[in-house]
Amino acid sequence: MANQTSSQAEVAAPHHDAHAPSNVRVYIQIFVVLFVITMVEVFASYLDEPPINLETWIEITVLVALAALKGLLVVMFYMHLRFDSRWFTTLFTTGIIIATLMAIVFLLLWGYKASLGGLVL
Amino acid sequence: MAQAVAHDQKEHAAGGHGHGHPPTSLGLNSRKVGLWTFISSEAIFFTALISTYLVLKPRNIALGGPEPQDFLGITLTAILAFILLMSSLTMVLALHAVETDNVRGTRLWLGATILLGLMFLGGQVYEFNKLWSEGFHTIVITEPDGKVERIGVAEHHLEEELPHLQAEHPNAQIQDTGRKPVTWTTSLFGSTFFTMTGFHGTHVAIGVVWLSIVLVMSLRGAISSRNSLTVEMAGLYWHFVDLVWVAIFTLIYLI
Repeated sequence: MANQTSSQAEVAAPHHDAHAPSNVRVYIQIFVVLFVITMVEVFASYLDEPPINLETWIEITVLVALAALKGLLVVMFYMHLRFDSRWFTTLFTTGIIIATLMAIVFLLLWGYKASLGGLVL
Repeated sequence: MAQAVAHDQKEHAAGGHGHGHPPTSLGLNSRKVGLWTFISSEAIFFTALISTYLVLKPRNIALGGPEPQDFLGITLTAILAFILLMSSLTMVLALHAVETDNVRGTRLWLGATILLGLMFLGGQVYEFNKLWSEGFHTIVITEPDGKVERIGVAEHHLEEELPHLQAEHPNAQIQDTGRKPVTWTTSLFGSTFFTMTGFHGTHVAIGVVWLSIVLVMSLRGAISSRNSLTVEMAGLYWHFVDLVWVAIFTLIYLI
């Protein structure tokens, strides 16, 4: 019985190392970074307004890049993809690529239709 | 008993964490493969909803629907974004606690995540109620040459906006079609916005129920490091829900 308990502990122990560094400090650091990025995002949403008056496309690029960075941090560290099997990364990335392509095609198609006749539908 | 332990060791060596769920031929835990596949499909689902909102946004304005900027406040949604980020932190802390057999910590952080999820849902209900109680007016401007233009004006901007429109179109006939509430059926903005955020809110609610079940299991002593995958699975789903809000917050509220 004692041997069994020991075996069970051995089974559980490597899990922590192989799966993810369960480091509370890292988790909190990631949260602080995510919080700061969110604050920067709110600030960046005013970039195309006075007194900064940057081009709207610059603002959109900055905001999308910041959101992508936030997403990447959540997926890598909170969802542990950085430390987990690459198959899970492949599964998730496949969905993201399909979704991104779909969104691009969707936006281009409707943008093209709108350019033809003004109103769509 | 020895056989059971041997099975556990074999399963762990193959990347599995739970009981009764043998690894796939790739050596992966089948429950995790299923959840990651589900998350992947959900990413496509939410992208479709967000894209629909974005492509119909100009059409909504052309039809005299409400201007999103007049109704969507950044302050409230930034607070909601903060709440969900905070809940992602408490979720990983719950997973850390269960992996280190910290029973009290597991219950504490799971409870905190549930509470933050409920706070988010409360904020969303408040926002929806605010939108329903506010109204917008579609102003139809008919120029002498027959050209018709429709402009959506928020009710709280109507008094200041009407004189501007009259000054801009001195010879046109300006007609107010009356007050309409911002609901699912009164404009394209309402249809696409409530569908998208409603689905997200539903996912949060499902997450809260899922986490509550895990918390009850923990209170009954059924959760430990040996079946930490139960918490990890709920956590993966919860982080994905947070991820969707990251996209919605940026693409819908900030841009």
